[in-house]
Amino acid sequence: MICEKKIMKNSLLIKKTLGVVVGTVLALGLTACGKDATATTAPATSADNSATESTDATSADTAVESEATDESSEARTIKIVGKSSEYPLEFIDDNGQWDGYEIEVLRLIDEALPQYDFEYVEGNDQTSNYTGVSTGKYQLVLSNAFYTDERAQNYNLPANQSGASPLGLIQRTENADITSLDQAADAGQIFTPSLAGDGLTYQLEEYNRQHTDKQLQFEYSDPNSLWTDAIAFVAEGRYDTAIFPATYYEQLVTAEDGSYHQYADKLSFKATIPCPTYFVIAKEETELSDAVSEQLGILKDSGKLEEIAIKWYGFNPFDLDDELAK
Amino acid sequence: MKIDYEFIKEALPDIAGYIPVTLNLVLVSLLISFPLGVLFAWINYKKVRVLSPVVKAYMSLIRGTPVVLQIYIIYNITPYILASILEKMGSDVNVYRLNTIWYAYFALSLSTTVTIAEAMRAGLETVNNGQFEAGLSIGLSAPQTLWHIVFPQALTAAMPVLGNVAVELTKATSLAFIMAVTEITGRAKVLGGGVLRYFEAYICVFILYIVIIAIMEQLFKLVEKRISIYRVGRHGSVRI
Amino acid sequence: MQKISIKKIIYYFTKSVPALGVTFAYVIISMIFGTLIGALIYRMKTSKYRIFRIIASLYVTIVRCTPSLVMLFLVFYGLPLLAGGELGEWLEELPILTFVCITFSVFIGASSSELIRAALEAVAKGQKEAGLSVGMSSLQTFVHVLLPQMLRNATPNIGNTVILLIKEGALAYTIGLRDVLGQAYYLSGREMNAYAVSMYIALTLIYWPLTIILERLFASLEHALTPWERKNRHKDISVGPAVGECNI
Repeated sequence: MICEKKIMKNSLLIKKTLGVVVGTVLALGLTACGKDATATTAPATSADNSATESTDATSADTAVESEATDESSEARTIKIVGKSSEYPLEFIDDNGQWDGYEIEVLRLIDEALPQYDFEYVEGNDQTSNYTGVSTGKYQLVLSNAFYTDERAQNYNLPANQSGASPLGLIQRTENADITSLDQAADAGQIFTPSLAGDGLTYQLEEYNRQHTDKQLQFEYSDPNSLWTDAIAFVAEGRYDTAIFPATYYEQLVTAEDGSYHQYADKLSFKATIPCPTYFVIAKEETELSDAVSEQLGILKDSGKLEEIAIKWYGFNPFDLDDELAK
Repeated sequence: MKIDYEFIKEALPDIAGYIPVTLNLVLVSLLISFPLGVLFAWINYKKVRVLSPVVKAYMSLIRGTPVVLQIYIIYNITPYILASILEKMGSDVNVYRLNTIWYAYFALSLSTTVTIAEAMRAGLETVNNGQFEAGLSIGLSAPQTLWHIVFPQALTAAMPVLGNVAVELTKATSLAFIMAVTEITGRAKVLGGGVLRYFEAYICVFILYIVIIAIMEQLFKLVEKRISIYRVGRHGSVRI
Repeated sequence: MQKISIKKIIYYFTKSVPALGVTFAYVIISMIFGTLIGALIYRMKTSKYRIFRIIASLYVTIVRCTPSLVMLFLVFYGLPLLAGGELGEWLEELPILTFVCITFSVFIGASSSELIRAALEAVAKGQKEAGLSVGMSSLQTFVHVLLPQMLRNATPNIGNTVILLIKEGALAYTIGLRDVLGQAYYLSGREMNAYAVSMYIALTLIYWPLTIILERLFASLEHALTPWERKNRHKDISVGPAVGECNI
């Protein structure tokens, strides 16, 4: 039966462990060899830097170039990965169609860029979606992504933002006067568990990096439902506070028909941190990134982005963001 | 994408630093589930009235649902139940400040208890009834017979399976991060998430699990060898 | 705590049950390919060449030591990466279900190689000799004498593997598979997990009865495959379905 452990009857432990390690290293080595030679010799960081520089310097040229080259060839399929249930950001509706704020924005961009053909793929774990973009499986990831240094280094963040997502702290009403991270740190509040690598988490991490004398208290955790759990966690007293996007708070708690409206009386929320959001594009896709960025700029200037945002969020997060930034 | 070897080199020792947490989860969960598992096995073996059907229903429920589902349920529901019980008892203990690792012990023990109970029951069945009678006939009491004669044989027979249970449990600890317990998988996700190098982080985890479990299997083999003196002669070839 | 709503439980139940199709698809495909890999690994393990034996053992050890979640991740992202070039690109185009099937085939490959060995060993040597002595060829002996007995011996383990696979598939939600759990999570996520507890109950009500039915099914299958005179024999060494549980 399977449970009998007769694997490698005669070999010694050392042999086995060594074999495994050597095997793994070999496998990794093979992967590296399969890639182009220049890449393997250049250290990752310097490659990243040079890539970023060239983006800045030649963004205008590349955009023109790409249009020129692509006229002759067919439209290239760009795979975009997102969670299927991030209402109202991106989700699959009952008819199996993608919809939501980011999807609507991308559809407009897709129309404006004949050289690309956007295709949406369902991926329900942030970890694996980002990995998919860095391994080249997807070209763009949707996650209402905030700017983080790590994201900027490892991916292409288009210069223009895709949306605005002002942040604030969820507090029980008795703590309503605590609205900033600083105050939360002073009060020794414990934050709800944070998703590793997430933009919300980054805000807390960044605060701790900058304030070595007083630290925000939080743990890391994993599940997808973590950030919506945060509402109940704070309301029920399991944790003290949570950092949360205003766009969602409005619609989940404040709105009469919000899924978490039952907690509305117990909680208070005030947006205090401005936060632009970005599409995250694969490192090597500078052309795509520039093209998307240019279109985002056009959509923002024409007021189209705000229009779509109001449609999905019920208010204009861009205005709130600008206000907070001042 | 190129694999970032620098990251692996730096992250591996860091992640390895969380091996104690993983082992802690494994050991405590085993300590909780082993006695319970043996007890359940005994109840089922002896077909104890009332208790046996209850234990069977419990085992069937746990066997019948994915571990992730069990974890989500425990993590999301137990604190509230505990809080309301404590409130009724008038205790002012704050369950919400309880280290989340306790939920992890609880969740992991649920399924481990079931597999141990199954293994031990199978082990008990390999012990010939005559052994029990023989023990009684030389003047040992029933508990003495159980402890000195039946149990060691059952344990020996169940040993290979118990080794497997430990291996499975170790693998299952990778889900503890769902409950905010930062063990090796969790640490890898935190590190990988920090610089968005998840794939490399997972390779580290992959290597670490192989090393941990390979060592564990060798340990179990040693134990198996040592206790094989209890092996029943007639059933020398018993396979479990 | 969230309120439990019967209406929501029914909603999640009825909307998630159809996704069992996805579950059965990967279970059946993985069982078939996994068994093929297992047969190959068993063959390599019993090979007279040392190198094959080493490769086979290494394979089993690595697979046994890897949590499903980690393996899923490595296969889903690592495989196209490892293949590289056009093959890699082709692999990336494949639906998620394919990667789930590959991952589980790899797992079953390791466990079934043991299963095949155990099932073969359990068939007494005398059986083969008896078959040969009555003038059957070794192929005939295998098909008519050994295989039926092997199947009987392996039935409880096959049952366990199927049940385990159904449960393990729940992890594949992270890479985007919509099996039962995936579908329920998707629906719950769209409602901001406001009825998560009702969803968990609905999932329990799907998985639990399903497992019980499958357990019964395999138990009666085993019974049907057992020749009548053996049914009455004292059950000596066959250890119930419990034992295979711990491994896939």
